[in-house]
Amino acid sequence: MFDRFIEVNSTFPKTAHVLEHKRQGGLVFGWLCTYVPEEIMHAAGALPVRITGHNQETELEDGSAYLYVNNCSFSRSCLQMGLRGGYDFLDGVVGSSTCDGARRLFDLWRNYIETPFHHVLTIPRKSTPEAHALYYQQVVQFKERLEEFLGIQITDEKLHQSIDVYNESRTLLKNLYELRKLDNPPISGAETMEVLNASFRMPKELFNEYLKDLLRDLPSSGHTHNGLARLMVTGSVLTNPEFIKSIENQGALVVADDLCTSTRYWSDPVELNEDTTPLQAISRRYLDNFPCARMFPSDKRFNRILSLVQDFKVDGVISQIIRYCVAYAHDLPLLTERLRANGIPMLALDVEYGTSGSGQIQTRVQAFLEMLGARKR
Amino acid sequence: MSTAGIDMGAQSIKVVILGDSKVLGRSLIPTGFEPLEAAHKALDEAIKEAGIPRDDVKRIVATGAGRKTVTFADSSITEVTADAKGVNWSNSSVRTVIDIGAEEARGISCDAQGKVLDFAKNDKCAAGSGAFVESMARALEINVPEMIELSFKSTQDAPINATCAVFAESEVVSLIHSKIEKADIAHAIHDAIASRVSSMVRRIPIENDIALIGGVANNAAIVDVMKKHLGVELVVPENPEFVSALGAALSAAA
Repeated sequence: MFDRFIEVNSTFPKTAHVLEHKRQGGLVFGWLCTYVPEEIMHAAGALPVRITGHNQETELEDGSAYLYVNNCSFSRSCLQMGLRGGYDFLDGVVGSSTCDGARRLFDLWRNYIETPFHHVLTIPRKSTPEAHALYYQQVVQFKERLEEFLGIQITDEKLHQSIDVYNESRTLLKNLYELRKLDNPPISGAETMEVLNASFRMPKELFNEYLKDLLRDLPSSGHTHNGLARLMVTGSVLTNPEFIKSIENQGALVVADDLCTSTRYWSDPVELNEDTTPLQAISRRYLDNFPCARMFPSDKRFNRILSLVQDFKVDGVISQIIRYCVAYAHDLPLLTERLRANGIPMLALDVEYGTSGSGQIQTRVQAFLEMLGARKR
Repeated sequence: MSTAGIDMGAQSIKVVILGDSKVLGRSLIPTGFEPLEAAHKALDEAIKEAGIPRDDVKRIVATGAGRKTVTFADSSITEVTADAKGVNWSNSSVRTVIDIGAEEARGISCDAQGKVLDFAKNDKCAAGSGAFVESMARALEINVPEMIELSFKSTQDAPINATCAVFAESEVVSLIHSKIEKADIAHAIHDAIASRVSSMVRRIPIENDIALIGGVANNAAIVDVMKKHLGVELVVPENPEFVSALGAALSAAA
């Protein structure tokens, strides 16, 4: 059932869908962070794909040659893929000033990788009216630059159509996550990550069809998963399903997450109403979406994590933070405290991007499961 | 009925044989390159010391970094759970356990029943471990007991800032070249380890009583500087390097 998704990911970054789109003369744009509005690229007729790094933890000799070591291994891994031609099909790259890692990656990409179009958005850290005004202006500017580069008009009608496609995807992913709330869900955490990864790497319309098929087949498939404990994964960007698998292989079941590659990516729809233009609605959604740890106040994110803990009946939370991913590292003590006050233990892991779970990590996870097991007794 | 706990450490294997809530036998041998064979040998030695027939050992639980290699064990638990159980057996007033082994250090917060409440471990770093003590002693061209003795004779502080064992070694070499007294360097090395371990342990709630276990707990100089860094008294149980194995044997008996 997951083969079609896994196939997309196993050929990443040059997936058959990307190559086919290029062969038919289509444009492909890479985006670097969930604060870049995909609908605008989609409405411009391009295929937006997410730029991520190597699937595994790997030597980052090229990445480290250009980026100082205190840039996270995610930014170095992405840069290395780019430098080695992994993204040579891109017609454009769009970054944002979300964190230093993402920003420096964009700078070096612009300098060393020949991508015809590049643009970076400034992202405020708050959700005040002033912040929304600033971000809206950034979104308008992005649209205008894209129109100028492509020599086209991105009409409201096109934007409406793109919003529909992306909102449908969000609803379908929400339905998939509803299944994870079950006592014995038909989908594991690692399988969910394969589905999510594919969602960044192929045309959304087709992904939605794949997902509809999956949602039709899953409930009656007889697949069930259970575990010694229901866990939630939080923290830095994560795309390696092997990492989740290494947790689940020890007897746990990962049922929830708040990663920028998972729940934070799809959770909130673009809400249209009569008083707003599609661009205003997009702008509002992207700044108000389930927040990254960089956003203030942190409570907004913590409250959403706590409601996920409740909704998905989570026994414990695993935080995996990439070294130098400062926003998440700084929020960690506060989040740990909030979870502890609610009786939810937290295991904090320091990782590098792409890790599939070393022996040391496995020992920590096993000890955490033993601890959760002793609590239940 | 007797049980056995086998702690497959990075450097040595420790076995404890437990019967009628008493430690009947113990053994410690180097892990080497054939860990499974070594585990068999260590178990045999401990059984011999216990003076009981092999069949009396009804359950075997493995722990430690190499716990999965002990294919003949009935089950395995992590060293975190084993440490808390092992310490609790002899000292139920302990709420915080600090374990410094050859390659790894950890801090564990536990309750009066020896259940783990929270824990922290060093990540990808050897600077807070027994292997570091040994390599620094080599750099000073003395053995570990000599380094411990020297450390107590130190009269002034010398700086070692590196958080990495490799860089620390080059700092030690610089100190040697700057004609700093060997005693002060020895003290600085122990201080550096205590500093690394203390900052890691502070990630968990530190509550009295606090026990220091693991092979490095036999190092009096480390125990001394650890007390200063944490500003607390430390309980060092008898045979601190056997506590994980004891915890595994206790878990096998439960």
